[in-house]
Amino acid sequence: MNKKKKKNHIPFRLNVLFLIIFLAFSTLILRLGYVQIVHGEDYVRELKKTQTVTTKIQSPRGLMYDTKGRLLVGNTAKNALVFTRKPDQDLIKLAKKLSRYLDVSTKENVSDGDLSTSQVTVRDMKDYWIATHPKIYEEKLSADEYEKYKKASDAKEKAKMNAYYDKVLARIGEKELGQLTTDDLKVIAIWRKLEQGTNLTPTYVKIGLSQDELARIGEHLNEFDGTIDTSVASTRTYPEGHFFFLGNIKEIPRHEVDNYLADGYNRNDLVGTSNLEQQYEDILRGVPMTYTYKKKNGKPVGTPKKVEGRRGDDLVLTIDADLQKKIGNILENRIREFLGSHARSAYAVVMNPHTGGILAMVGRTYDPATGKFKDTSEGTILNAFQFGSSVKGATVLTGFQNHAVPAGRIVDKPFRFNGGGKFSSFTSGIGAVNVTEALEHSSNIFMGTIAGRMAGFQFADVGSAYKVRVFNGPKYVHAVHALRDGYNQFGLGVHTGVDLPFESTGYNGGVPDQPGKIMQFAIGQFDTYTPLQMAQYVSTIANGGKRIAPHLLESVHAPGDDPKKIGPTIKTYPTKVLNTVANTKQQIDLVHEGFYLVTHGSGGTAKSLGTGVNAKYKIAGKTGTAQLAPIERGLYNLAFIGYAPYDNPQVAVAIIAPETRENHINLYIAQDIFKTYFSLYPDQLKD
Amino acid sequence: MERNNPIGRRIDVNMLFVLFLLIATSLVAVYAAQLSDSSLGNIAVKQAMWFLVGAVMLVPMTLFDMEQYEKMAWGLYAIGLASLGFLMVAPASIVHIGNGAKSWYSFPGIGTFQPSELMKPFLIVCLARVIDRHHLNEPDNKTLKDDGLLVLKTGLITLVPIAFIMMQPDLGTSLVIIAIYFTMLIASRISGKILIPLFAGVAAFASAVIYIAVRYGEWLKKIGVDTYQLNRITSWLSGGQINNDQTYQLHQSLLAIGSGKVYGSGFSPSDAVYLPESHTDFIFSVITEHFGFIGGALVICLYFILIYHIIMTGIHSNQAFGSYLCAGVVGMLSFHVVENIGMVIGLLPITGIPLPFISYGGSSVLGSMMSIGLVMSVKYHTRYLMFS
Repeated sequence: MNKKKKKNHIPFRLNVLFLIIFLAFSTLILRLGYVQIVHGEDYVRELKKTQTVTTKIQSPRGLMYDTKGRLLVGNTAKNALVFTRKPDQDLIKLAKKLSRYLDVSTKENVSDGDLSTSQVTVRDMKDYWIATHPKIYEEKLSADEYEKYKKASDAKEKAKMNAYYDKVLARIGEKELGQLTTDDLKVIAIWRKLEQGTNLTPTYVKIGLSQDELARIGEHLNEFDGTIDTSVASTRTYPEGHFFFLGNIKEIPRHEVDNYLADGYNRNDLVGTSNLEQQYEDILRGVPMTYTYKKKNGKPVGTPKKVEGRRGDDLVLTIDADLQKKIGNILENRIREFLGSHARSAYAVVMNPHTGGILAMVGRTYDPATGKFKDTSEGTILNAFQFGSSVKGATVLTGFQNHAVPAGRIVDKPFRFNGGGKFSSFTSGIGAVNVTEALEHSSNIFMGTIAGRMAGFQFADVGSAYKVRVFNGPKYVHAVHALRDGYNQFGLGVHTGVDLPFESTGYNGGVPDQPGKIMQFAIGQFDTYTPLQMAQYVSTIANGGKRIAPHLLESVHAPGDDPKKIGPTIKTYPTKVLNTVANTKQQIDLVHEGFYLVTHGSGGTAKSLGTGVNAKYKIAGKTGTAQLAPIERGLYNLAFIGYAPYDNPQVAVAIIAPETRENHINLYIAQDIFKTYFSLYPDQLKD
Repeated sequence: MERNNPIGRRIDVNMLFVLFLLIATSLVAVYAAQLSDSSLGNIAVKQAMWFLVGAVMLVPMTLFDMEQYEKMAWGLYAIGLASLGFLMVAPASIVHIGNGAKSWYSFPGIGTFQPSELMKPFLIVCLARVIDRHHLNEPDNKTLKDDGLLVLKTGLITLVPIAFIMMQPDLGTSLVIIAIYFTMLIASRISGKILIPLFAGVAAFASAVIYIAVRYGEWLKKIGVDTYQLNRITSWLSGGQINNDQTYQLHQSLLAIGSGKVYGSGFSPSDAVYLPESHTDFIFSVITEHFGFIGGALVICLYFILIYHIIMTGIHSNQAFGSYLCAGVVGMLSFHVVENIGMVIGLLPITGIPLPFISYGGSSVLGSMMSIGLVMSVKYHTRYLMFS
């Protein structure tokens, strides 16, 4: 029991120890609480800021369909090998390793993105030789040069080193390059692709991997430290033809790189650069696949975390691809028919006057040099023309707004201006006309009277003509502006609001020096308009006075499970009323009546569209014939704007055949378009 | 008499339960670390296997009684020293160098092994024997001279392995061994008249070292002190603001811990923080990142309960040798826990020592389990006298 006696100090000593430990542990918990509870938020914030770097790879873009569900823009998907470069990587080693798993063709012509030894240039071979033979400097440089090179290399003087590099490059010849085997060339073909990659920007090494390659790579994917991955690369296809409004995807334009980078794009991404591809980039783009790397001292390390992206949403357009193509044929056939009377080009826009949905926008231009047609459909939004008398509906309604429309009939006979000059209707013998008959006969004198009254001109009947005293005072200037404002209410001379990134608004002639020119303005021979603006104008009349924004997008759809079917609707394009014209229903109905008489009246300028086989389409509209300077050429812009059926308009059309002789090609085209349209939509003819 | 004590009373079931919880924590934390660093492979399974080996080892270690340990003491000490010494001269093929320290044997196919982890329990046994024998043999009216002799004897025994370990070099493990030495001195009968000045002197010396490192860092570098060692101190005092490898680790660790906040990120792969050594020395950062302050505080409490049980075993042991063993184990485990957690939360300078029972590593697991084996043996062979 000796031991026991000597042990009694122990409880006290161990308790002291326990107390020390208790204090130490308490300190730990206090400090832990300070870090996690007091400063937790700060660390979370810093973490988000600095700890990771994310790279992206684009997902397949959304598809586009026409209004009947036909695929307009598709994707072909190919398996691809993606390389994401990290700083200080040994690319030659990587290329050699990849060459074991990748097939490299030796053929000249390979599809886009495929690998071929034929892509290897002599310069590539020389670069490769230097990179793989470090002793080459000693061999190719004189002893003196080599000393200097070594000095520059030790001092890391980049410019000097490059100069010696170029020297070595020049001195490498057949002796060295002849030693390169086909296998070497395959490695070089891969290596040069890897060299094109910039840090942390995924680039395609090879697009179009075979199943074998995919399997081989897949098996060894984990050996590449996250820099190599397989993915799907897609290219756009256009099964119904590459209509201009679909737009293009291209590399990001250089001047816009910063904006796109801010939106999370990579420098080498493909983006929509025109028309619908550009307009709806956000919808079509989808969500890119991301790789998130952790950073160590600012450099990415380890295997990245991969988050799958999502394909872009699909667009259903208001376009009817069938109608679009058929109108193309109509324009070509009619231009060819009237080549003898100088028909060279024609444009047509077809839209729904109630919703603004564009069904077709087509242009064709004949090239006398080749005897072939060019698709110039973009002219429907980019080219502006004098549409002649087709604007008279807007002139009349603007006249009503300015209380300048003669109440009864006036006799159609020429104006003679006090300063000299003459103004008359295109046809003679029109006689006395009221407002609807003025539209029927396309009386320039009636329109001139409206404009003249607005401008405060004085008219005097001198028997064979009217003498007109014109003034260029403030009232005249005001009248020009008032007329232009009136036209603007119909979309003439302003942006139509179409869902495309760019459209022309036409030429604005300002206030003409000669006051008599306001009359030219009132008959569509002064400012110029695009076919799309004209379509908006005629739609505004057809629907009773609402200016509706034309659009190509009908609805947006999520990608469906079944690739053959369009997915569920995400949103539908709303009908956008931009403004309502400041006229009464009676006034607009007068124009409706006038437009009806154009095709149905005994003196109508487009009688052929209201009679015979065309009677059943119930077309109403307005012709336009703009005489072009110099008059000796005898060329006119022949236009027609109209809608049908007149008692319940379902479709509005604007047509122009610029710079042709008086061959009525506009009416033939109009007749063909209405016929084609109603053969596709026969239900719309029934009541 | 022993027969009167049922097995249930001779095995500390509560302590084993705490141990079980620590092991479970280890497997979860190691798994979390391997989730965020795929280069680690499936180390959670390996860790589980080491625990299994350790658990099997507990059985014979519990059954050995105090006399047997006392007999083995010098032998174990010699084995420990031999394995440390041989490391210095061993052929490169069986040596693994990690973080610049030559601390591991490398056995192809089995893995690496760190002999200093075994040296710690062996030294505890040896010191316990030396202290016990010294007190048995000293006269009842012992003098300060007797005590001083014991301090020197045990100090010498402690210094030899430290010398070997500093040659690797491994400052962290050396400090653990010093901690073992001091706690065992506290438990011994050495008079407070010696102990108090001794500890005060050590504390003053440590403060002076830190002061000199901070104030005269440049001069120390000139006279040949390793920059690496200085950085540890400067980065610790800067709170992770100076940019070098040491502060980088601390900074990343604080980011991981801090972003865990109260509840942690859970198992969702919030592996956004790149943590070097996340599965070994910085495993506590992983725990607190994923399970927050609550998880971290729970782990600290588990250690506290474990140490409480060991101390109670030491107090109730009726053999002084057993009490010394427990004191040594307490010293070793507490220092490990306080230093490891202290360094990852920026309270103490960074020294590479693992968190016992939780950090990944076979040697560390075996060393810690052996120390528990010693404590279980003390408890198992404690005689509860009916009439005492």
